Amino acid sequence: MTIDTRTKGTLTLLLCVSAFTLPWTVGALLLLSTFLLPLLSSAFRPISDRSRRAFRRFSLYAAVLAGVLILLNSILLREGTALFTFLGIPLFDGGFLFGVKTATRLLLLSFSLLHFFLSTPIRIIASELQQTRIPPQIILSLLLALHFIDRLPARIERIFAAQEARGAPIRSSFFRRVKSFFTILTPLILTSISESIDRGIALELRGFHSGVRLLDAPPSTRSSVILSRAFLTLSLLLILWRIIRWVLL
Amino acid sequence: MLERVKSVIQQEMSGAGLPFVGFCIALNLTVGQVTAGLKIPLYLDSVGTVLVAVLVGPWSAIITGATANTLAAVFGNPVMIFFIPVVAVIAGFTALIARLGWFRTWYLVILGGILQGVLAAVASAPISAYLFSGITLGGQDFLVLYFRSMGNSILESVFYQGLSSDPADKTITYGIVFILLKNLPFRLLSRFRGVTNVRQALSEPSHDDRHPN
Repeated sequence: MTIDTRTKGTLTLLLCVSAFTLPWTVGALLLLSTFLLPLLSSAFRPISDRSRRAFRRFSLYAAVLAGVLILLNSILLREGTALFTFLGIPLFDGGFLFGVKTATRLLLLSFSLLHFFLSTPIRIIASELQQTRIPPQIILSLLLALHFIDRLPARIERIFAAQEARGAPIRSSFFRRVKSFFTILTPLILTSISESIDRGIALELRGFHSGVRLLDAPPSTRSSVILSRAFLTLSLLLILWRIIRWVLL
Repeated sequence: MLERVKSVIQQEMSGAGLPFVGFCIALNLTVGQVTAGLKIPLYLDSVGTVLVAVLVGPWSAIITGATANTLAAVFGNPVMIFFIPVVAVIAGFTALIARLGWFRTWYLVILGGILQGVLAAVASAPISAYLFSGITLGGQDFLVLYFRSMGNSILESVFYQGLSSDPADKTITYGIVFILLKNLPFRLLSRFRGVTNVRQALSEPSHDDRHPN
């Protein structure tokens, strides 16, 4: 069965809601299952080598940080009894459990969002957003942002090189470096405002503001509509259950 | 109500406003490259949002911040997506004080930055505490843990952490935007709706405008 963007989005929403509403043990199982998603469906596989590298980098970062935070919580939150000593420092079970619960929730949240974003091209997300009747200005600003994100690093590099050639104190003392921050940022903003004016005129000349559709979205299949509605209903039920529990207890 | 918001967004994002919003979203995400290149220990990840709030308008600033946070989630920091309400507070407050003319005077900019920092700390504390128990996979987590080890609750610890870093960060961001806008030529700024937030219309040209050659 093919999984489209809407189904993926609602499944991600369900996983995020589960992270906040279900017990941490269920969250831990769901976290493990998120790692199976790319194996089970090609729709959840990273779209490029860059995405794959980003996923690997984040996984390593999250694993190290989660480990450090569990350790620090165990040391600093002196709740419950001492589990064992690490380099002569006692580790408390209250802090340890708090660290594990928080890390599980955070990792489930992070990995479910990351799986969605790294496996879905922004263009597809934009076309789905357009179907939900979001103003085209917002979608175009997102697409323009992607264009600028691609170009800005090279532009910044060029300005750095030019200002350094003119004798700007880029590798000098801290205060002089702070001063040269403006010598980099001012030309960057200036050129971008000029480009914005040109692009604004071009958009108006093409009648953009009279209301246009930017992208065509593929039609949803019946199975994907049913699945996405089921995920959405489950998410709402979980939120409702959590609110009722919170009010009653 | 929704139709009214859509029409305001359409008005704000006419002309150069729309491409400028796109640029400022990218600026929020890439300004770190400039600070890293100069080895300055600052984040400044809301410079673009503040620029849009002053020059374009509140709704565009909210869109700028929300899109930048969503893209930050795409690029490997998924937690950022949950802090979109904080961005909305930053954008709304900045647009309000800009409309009141605070971005014309340096001491009001500093005051605005401090107030904004406190407001950002207040807005982000419940999200950070209740959704993430104070841990958001960032360097500030260690500060939260430090405050917790002093016997404070999670909410208090997150709030103290926010208070210890946000006012300074936001004041510096406001200061940078103020200096940038003071240095930009009036003929470019006049393309934006919010030019009167920065300078008295036509009465206060910058040095470049007085001596164009």
